[in-house]
Amino acid sequence: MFIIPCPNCGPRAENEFTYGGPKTTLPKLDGSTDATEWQQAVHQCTNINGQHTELWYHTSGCETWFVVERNTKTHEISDALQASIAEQVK
Amino acid sequence: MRYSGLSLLKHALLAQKSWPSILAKNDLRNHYDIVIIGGGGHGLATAHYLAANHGMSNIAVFEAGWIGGGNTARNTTIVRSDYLLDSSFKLKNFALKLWTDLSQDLNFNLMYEPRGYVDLAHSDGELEHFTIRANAMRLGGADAKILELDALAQRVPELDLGPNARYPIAGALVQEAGGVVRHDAVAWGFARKASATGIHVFQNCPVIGFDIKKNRITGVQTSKGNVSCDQALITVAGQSSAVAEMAGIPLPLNSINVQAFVTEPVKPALDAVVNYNAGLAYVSQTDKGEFVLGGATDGYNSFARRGSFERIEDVLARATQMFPFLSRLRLMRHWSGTADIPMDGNAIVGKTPVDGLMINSGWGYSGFKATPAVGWNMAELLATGKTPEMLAPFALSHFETGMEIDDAGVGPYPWLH
Repeated sequence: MFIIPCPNCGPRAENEFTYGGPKTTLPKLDGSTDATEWQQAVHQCTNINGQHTELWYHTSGCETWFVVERNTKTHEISDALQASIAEQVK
Repeated sequence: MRYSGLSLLKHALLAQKSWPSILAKNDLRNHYDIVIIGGGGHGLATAHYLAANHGMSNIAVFEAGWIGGGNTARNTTIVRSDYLLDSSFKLKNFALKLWTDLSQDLNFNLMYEPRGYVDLAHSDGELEHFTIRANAMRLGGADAKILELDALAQRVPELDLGPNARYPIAGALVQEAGGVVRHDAVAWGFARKASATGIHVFQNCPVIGFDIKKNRITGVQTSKGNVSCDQALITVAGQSSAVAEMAGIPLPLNSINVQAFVTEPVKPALDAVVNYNAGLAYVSQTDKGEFVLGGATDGYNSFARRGSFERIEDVLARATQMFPFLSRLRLMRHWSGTADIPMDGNAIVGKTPVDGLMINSGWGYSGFKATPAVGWNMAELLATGKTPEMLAPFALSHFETGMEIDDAGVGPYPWLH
């Protein structure tokens, strides 16, 4: 169990949150993206052993998404910033 | 040395002080035909079948830790083949056939016990879906039964089948050929047999780099020195991303923690492996009397090999729903391992973009039950250069082509598998 510092609600227990995976940048949705690019975007991931930028959703709290900097080796959280889902789709 | 009743007697008379080591001590050669990176069950099974089925023995296995220290010995020892889709089913059902007489083949007691695997459904809808799965298994030549409540109460009398449960049980799919295999014996048994046929098994010897010339593998660099090779296989479970990256191959994997725990030992009370599906919790009792419990992944990327209390609480809540008497037992031991889970939940097995370099990864937490089948088929791929039919659906390219995806159907969210 680790404590996640929610930018809105303060430090709360892990079981209040839903994990949203690594923070990624998805390709454009305007028809200019080909199949290979989508395949890469959906399946390929950076499987980082160390400092990891990821998304969490405060399910049993403020119900917002935010970006967390967490070390996957130690589970230590160094940063948590408010994010909007829109930021994922650039 | 061959293990037998006679050897047991002889060493009993010698006060058990002169058993030979199961692994021979070898010096590193300059060249191996095949280098296997990762001395877990899958890697050692590949080495064994290369020798047994294809007569090859100029092979080295490099293990960064010790034999039986990785994920092979960090699971809940369950073997079964109750899968809906052909690709998963065929491979795991072939493994189940191999498990049945592997102890004799290896002359090592793997304690395979087909106790029966009982998969609980919690609604009529879920039981319908289990029926589809059972029918698919029967079509594939495996046994499978659907039990409604009365029959289930007879098969597993310890189950709480009352209607007042939070998620009442509606029935179950039962595969009687499923069961348990002593997990660390699998690693030791394969290692011993491989070593006896002249294959070099090196422990505490991580691979630190690859020699690749003109997109072809020519050698590997290890902490004990460099060796040249014709072919190599990466089969390192949770470390797959890091090792494949040294060869310049990006893999669509997320490493996620999976944990399991064991209660104090009590008298025999449960003779089947039972899985709770409203959430996830699986329970079996060891020969020593301990209850082994496992559940879902921790649910986020992690290399910590350290479990979260949240999951322990979650698994125990579900386990005590099934078997209320478990609430009176204390947990004695707890462990976790790093599972490498691909975006579609299906393993990645076969050739890589680098010639002569094979990959076996992405088994998540369903790798143990497939161990001998993966070894058998991977050995065939390495010996003949042709991808066996059973491995074809697991090619690295299955992400691009959108071939069969996993049985759970959770989409590209590896932490939910």
